[in-house]
Amino acid sequence: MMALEQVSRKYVVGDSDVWALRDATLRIEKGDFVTVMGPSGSGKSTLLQIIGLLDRPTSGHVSFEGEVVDQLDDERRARLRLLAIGFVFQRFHLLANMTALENVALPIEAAGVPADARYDRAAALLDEVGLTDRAYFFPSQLSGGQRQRVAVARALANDPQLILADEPTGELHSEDKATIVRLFVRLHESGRTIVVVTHDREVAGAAHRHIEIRDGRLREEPP
Amino acid sequence: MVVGVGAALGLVMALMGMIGSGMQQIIGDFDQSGANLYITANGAQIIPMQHGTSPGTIDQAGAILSKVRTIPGVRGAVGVLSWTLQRQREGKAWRNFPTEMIPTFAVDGEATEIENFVVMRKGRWFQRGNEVVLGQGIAGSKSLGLGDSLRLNGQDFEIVGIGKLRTFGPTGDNVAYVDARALRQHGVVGDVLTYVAVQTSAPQLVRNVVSDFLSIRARSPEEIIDETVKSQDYQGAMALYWVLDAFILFVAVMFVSNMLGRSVAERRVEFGTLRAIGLPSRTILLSVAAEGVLIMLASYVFGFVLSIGLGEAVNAWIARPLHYDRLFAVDATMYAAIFAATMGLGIVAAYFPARAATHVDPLEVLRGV
Repeated sequence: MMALEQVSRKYVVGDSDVWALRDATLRIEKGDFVTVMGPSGSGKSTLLQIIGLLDRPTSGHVSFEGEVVDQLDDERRARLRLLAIGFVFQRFHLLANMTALENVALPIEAAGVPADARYDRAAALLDEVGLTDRAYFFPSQLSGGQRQRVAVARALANDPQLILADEPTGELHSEDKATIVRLFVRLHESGRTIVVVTHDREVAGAAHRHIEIRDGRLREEPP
Repeated sequence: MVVGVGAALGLVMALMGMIGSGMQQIIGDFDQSGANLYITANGAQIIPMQHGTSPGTIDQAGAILSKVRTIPGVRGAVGVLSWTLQRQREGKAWRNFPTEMIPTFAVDGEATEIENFVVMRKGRWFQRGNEVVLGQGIAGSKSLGLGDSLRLNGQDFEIVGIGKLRTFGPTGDNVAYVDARALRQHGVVGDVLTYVAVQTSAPQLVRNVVSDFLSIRARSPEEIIDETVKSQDYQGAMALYWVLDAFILFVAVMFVSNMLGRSVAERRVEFGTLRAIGLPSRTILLSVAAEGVLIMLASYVFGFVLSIGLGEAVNAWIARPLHYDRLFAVDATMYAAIFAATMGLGIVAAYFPARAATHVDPLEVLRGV
């Protein structure tokens, strides 16, 4: 599904070069549940940004469904993110002036789905994450765990092939954390491909592939 | 933001409504008057746009007026002289008391012979040399009414009517009308006139006769309005108003653009998130542009209501005490033009903030900004 070939990413900080990723080669197959772990500053987020087509590698190639995508223009990459990749952020990043239902419906609207179908699908997704009764709540009226479940529902909005999560439990209490982990497990069991960057052993324990990253170099741990 | 921009737009629309009203009154009076030709001195500006503009003087007016009246097809020809008379009050004259001057139209001929040329609000038009008709503005401001006596340049006049000649909009309400022949007999004025209003079924014939006199010319009301509108004074005044309006609108646009820019800056995370989850930049651009247009639309509605309120206030508190019919009128074309300009400016105001919104780097969101 997603392949990285000899991908490196360099940042220029002041007068010096910082390599966030070095010669990373990785294949993510359909149905994988992958966690990426490593210390702070090791390059986890950079890896996720490159997989999520938010950043471009300094060298190497990124392919999605067999097509090289690292040189696509911004709008085509945005289109791929909209339809084929779902993002879950550590800090939820829901739009404060929209209800849970509207937040979930936003990417569906951008995909050009008519209003009725869009809201039916958004409501079904909120049902899937157990928030039917919170559909018309604004983010400020929801707990951290509930906000993250809305964010997961939004990530599923256009039924993407790949779900990327960056520290999805980083801001949650243990009970909410367990709910989100169970949600990811359920999504994986329903056939979805998931890549999670995390520090959390509980989240890592739910995945079946574990990638360790140190100083920008990847190492896959045996199952 | 809507209140601030709306207030600016309201001011612009009220101002334009007042300009439109002045012109409408002038045109309205010309339209309603039966006079279809006006004879003036060459180079005279019969509708003075600025103080100091000369309405001109027709010399040997008696001969010209007599000649015009004999032209076949002429139903009525009335000469008007714009003059100023000094009022004397009864009793002891106070030292240092300022001289009271009364703007006067001395009328030569039967004004009522021209259809709709005379507008009477009370009483009747003067018939004798010792009678006077007052415009309602001057009657109100001097607290004079029917039957009162008015001493002008040493001669007593009885007020027999409150009304006006239908010529140049509000001006007619603020003068006294007396018989020109009576003033000539008393040596107050000479054989001169400012203009001659003519109602005729053969205007070309009148033009031909008038063209024999080198110092005068005849023009239709349409020609006078056209000349006025094309005159340097009018164009200058209009340009000044438009510059003022453009400045107000420019400030409004800068204000909206600046506020939208700040709003976009405050919502960088939101726009970054939208870009990260894949919303096309066009969608973000249009959403911010729509916000700008909506703000301008709401401002327009606010400004529209405010301008009507301001206009009515001007009519009630300024126009009526000064005895003008109105100083503000709703002009649908002007409101439509300002609506179109406002919507266009909304897009202009939103363009740069909208572009800035599309350029927010989604990576900032993932970096936990």
